[in-house]
Amino acid sequence: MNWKQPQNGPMEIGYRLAVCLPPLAIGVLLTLGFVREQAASVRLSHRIDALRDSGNIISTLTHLNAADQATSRDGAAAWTEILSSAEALQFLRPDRTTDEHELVAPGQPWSALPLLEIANEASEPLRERQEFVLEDTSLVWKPFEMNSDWSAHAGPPDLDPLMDVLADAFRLSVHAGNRDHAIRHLLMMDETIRRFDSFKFEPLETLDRAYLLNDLIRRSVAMSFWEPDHLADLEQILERRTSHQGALWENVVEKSMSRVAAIASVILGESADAWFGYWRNPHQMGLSPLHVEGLLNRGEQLHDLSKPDISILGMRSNDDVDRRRQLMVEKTSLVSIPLARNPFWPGINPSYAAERLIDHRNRNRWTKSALALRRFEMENGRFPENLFELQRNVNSQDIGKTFGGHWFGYDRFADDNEAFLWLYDEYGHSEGMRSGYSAGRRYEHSLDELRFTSSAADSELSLLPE
Amino acid sequence: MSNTAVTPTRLDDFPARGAVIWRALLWKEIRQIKPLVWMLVGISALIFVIIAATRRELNITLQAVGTIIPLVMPALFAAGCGAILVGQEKETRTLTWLSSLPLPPKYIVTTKLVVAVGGLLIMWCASILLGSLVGLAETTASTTAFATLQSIHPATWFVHSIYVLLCGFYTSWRSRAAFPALLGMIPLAAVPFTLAQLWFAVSGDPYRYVDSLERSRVIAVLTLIALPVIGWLTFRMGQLRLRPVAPEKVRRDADSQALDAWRPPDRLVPTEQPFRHFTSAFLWQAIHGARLTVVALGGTVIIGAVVLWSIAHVPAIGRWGDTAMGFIGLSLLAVSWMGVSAFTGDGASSRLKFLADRGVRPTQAWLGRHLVASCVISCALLLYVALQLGPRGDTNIRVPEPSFLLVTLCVVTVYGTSQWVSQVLPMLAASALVAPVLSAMTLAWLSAARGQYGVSLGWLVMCGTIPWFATWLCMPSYMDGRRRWKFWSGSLLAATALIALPFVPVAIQIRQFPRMASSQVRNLAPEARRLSRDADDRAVSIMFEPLDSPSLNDWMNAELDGTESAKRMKRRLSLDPSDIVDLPAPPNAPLRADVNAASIAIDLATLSHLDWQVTRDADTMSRVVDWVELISEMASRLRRSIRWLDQEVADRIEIWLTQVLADDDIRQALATEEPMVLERLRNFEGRQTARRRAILVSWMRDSELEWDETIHGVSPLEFWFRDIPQGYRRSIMKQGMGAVTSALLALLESGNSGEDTTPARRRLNELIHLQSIDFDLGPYGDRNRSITRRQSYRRFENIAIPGIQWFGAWEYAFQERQP
Repeated sequence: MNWKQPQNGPMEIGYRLAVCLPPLAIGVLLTLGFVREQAASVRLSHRIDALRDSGNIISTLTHLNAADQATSRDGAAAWTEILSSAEALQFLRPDRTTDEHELVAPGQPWSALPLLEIANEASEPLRERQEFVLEDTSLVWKPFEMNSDWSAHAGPPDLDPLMDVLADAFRLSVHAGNRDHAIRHLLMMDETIRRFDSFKFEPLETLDRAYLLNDLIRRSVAMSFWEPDHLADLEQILERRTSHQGALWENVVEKSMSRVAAIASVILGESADAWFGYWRNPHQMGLSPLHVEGLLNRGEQLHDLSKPDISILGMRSNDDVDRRRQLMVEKTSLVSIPLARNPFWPGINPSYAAERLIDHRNRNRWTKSALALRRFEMENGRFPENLFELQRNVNSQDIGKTFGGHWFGYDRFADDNEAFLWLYDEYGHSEGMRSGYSAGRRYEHSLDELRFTSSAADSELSLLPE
Repeated sequence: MSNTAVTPTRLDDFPARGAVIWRALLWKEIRQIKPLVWMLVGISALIFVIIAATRRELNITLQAVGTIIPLVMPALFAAGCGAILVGQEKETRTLTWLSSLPLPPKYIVTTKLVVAVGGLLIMWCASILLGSLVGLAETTASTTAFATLQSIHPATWFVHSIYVLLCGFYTSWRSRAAFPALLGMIPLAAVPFTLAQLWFAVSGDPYRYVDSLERSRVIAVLTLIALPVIGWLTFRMGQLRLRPVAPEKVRRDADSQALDAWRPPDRLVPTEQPFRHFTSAFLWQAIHGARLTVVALGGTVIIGAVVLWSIAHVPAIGRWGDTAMGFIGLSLLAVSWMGVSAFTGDGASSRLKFLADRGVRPTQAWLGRHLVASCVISCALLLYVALQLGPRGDTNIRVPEPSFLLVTLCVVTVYGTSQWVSQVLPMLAASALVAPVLSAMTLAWLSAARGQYGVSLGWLVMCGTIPWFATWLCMPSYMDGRRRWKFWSGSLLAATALIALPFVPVAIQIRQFPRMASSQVRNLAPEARRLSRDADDRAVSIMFEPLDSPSLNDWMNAELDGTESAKRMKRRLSLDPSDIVDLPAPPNAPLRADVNAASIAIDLATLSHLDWQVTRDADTMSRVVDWVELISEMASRLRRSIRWLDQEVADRIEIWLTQVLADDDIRQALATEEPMVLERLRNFEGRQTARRRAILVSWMRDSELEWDETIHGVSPLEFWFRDIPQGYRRSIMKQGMGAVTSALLALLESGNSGEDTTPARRRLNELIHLQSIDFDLGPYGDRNRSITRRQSYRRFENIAIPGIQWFGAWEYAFQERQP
């Protein structure tokens, strides 16, 4: 290009334009970014209003009023005493003791037995009182509390110490071979969970409480302890826990949506009567209206599902890239400070709650499958060939499979006298594997497996001289 | 032999004047290097003073910037020395004059090197001295950038700084202009590190852990090996450049033709005005003046943009995290140097003077000087945003991805500060070294104002424009080459504004934060002082008796045998209340609360009560009475304490006592055995007096503490003022405590006089920053207070919020007086 020609005016203009355009484009893009945010906040405002009108999100006050109406204050004082006493018992027994959490079959040696006998004796008045209090079937009223971190939540009391007291009593009953006592303690656990199940906003905590109950049922079933009649009682307990989960799913979604709505209110500058969650200052955390809109989209995606769907899982999986990409509904903001995409917050991302719920559901199915397996063995005198045979026998799709349709791990050994049942999660993972050889056959099982022994083998075992 | 016939090759040939010439050369070099030394020492001293003065309020980022200064300053000197002693002389053509003197080149080269090494030693000494003077060595910045730099031994840094100095000289001798010399020095300076990396890669397992000492040792050895090599190269290059220039070759007759004289020249003679617009002239000048520099800097910035995007999008980059961060740092350095080249380097000032003489307006010149750089930087930003908005690859959601606005603001701040520095410091080498440091400081300063002090983004963007305004306003003086008081005072004013203005909103916030009215302070202070003086300071803590000594579990976390565990549990079950909880002597000394101890005591007492409800035997009743007596004494001694927190714990304990004593059987048993328990609960006035004393003494003692000191239970807790940004929360704690004290006194007054306490509680709810919680649902609301403690499962929730249970129904349970 020959710059020395003064008549090169148009070229010169083009040259200058080419240099000036990029800075201008930056200005235009930033303006566009702000306009997008503005538009998103208008859309967000309308959507939140619509959700509020349709009752899909609720406020703290609505929630507390509903809880107050559904519960009774009469038994609250008695329950406080019981829970407080259970904590005192925990204080009086601080040691970690070998075998104390094991479920030991009748007649088998048990190192922790002396301790559990003393603990059980000390907790007898408490259990007696609890049985009395349980006669009142109404739901227990709970105060509205905040923890020290100001993450305000309707705090459920800590039931763990009480559950441990009951679990100890159950273990002792199993060891003593007293099936009636054992079933009574399991029922007490179940009833206690139900009494405190009044908070719509703590569905996952309710599931956590049932974790120990499920575990005890599973392990007791595997050890061939129950009579056929008791199996029906256990099935009833499980049924109650499962039927509960449909409602829980709705609550999970409602809670997530309410949290997102609360955040949206703060972002939009409204201090509305929203459900306040733990994000006190979403602005400081760098959330913009576009980000919140992405969260809301995700919430609505969940809301459209009548039940937890396996397709919404996968956010946590590291190796499922395609699924994760498909699930990315969050939006990129040009002008939010500091981050373009919303940080990954499990607390307000409904997928996490869904994942936990499905995990609980799978554990429940595992327990149900264990019960079915024991019933099959009692009826046929042998363990099934495979889980498909078991499923066909009970005629239920829920047995032997996870929520996502994966088969549980199953194996049987030694002339059908032993069987193993373990849980794979939705990604085909289990609690680590162990392998070895048995009867000339290589096996690979989960560390978290249930080892079933046949009733016949057990009776033979008890005839063996010591 | 006549002197004129001999060409002197050594100074010894000038026996009489040798020493004089040495001195003259040294004097010249020292004069040249002095400004750089003073400037760097001055800046270090300024930064040290700022850090030492504000350390208590500094955040980690600023501390990190402060702590790396002792290492950075000698490094900057080493990097800039060659550019000043050689590059600048080339630019001002004094080197040509020097080479024309009858002096052997090696002496000129040697003098320059000697002066440079001497200056480097002085810089090291000054850094160590300044660092120790302001106590930077004591900074516990183990998690800061300093720790990363510290992982390499200081001795290695020292050796490396000599190496960098030689590299700077080498590139300065070699390159025609000063800027490319600076650019060329960077890859050379990185050679020992790269070689060390390679060494670790080939010398064994590439993934093995290399400790800092080993790394330092290898780098030091490699640098020591490289020193003679680069030294020799530098020396040779210096001598080469100072040699007389070879005369132009005369065309041999065979190559020339007779027609040559009649041919038009290869290029047209430039017209008088090659461009219609001055802007085009600036553009041409900026691009063609130093094409390589523009390409190198622009390329680095664009690569930086791609790397920044790839961190969150290309999983493989995870393994090269440090290298990627290094690239981003390098591209910020390139942005800074682009800013520097706006007003310095390549004879910019003389060119601007030329244009000023021909009537170019300062604004035009100002815009023209920024055009190319802003175009290149904008292209990089556009590339970043295009990648970010483009088709999504495998997004690594755990890696935070900075937004377009954030990246733009950072880049604009760095560029803006650098162009300002380049206008204030016209010496290229100096501004090229100082600008990145000052840009980093500005960036840290503004981001601290945003992140730690919550200053609004709009205000900070406004503050960020100060350097731009400064260079624009000073442009006329700069173009004319007049740097008089107006120029300097303008620059000083702008610097002060940039430091102070970002924090003006913070000062306003602190001023507006609630405090106790001065008249009330005057009224209350004498009483508070008297109470504080008269207070019983023998306070003791509640003690847990050692229940299981020696406690095997506590120390080893081991599992015990069932029989041993059973024995230990049996022993615990048989213990008396006073065996478990000890209220230390003297018996009337105030007690300091231990929520854990109080909670366990109440749990154990509840267990006894429950036992009694089931068994109804006399032994259990006597145990209940023992517990109630102990807990009642605990509450009564907590009331004597001057800490507000102890009054709150006493409230909760008394609420539990009220509930238990509602049981007629227990009340009757206590009436005969321990009448004091009921008496204590009935003492309404005594409770209010204790509360008033505690809040007044707490307020007085807290206000007498050093500004950053707190006493747990006396001072306010940090979560009270959680909405106040972390950066200045400490500054408002004392005045906040004054405001809370005032509101608590108002609550006491209205409660004592039987008035409605709601307004006072509302005020407390606002003060303790619970706006995001509705008053009715919050801890001060009626719903929370109406809950009798017996219905609550956690007795000590919200314990650190003062006054939430004052004048609740429980206070009137055993007396005539009713709310």
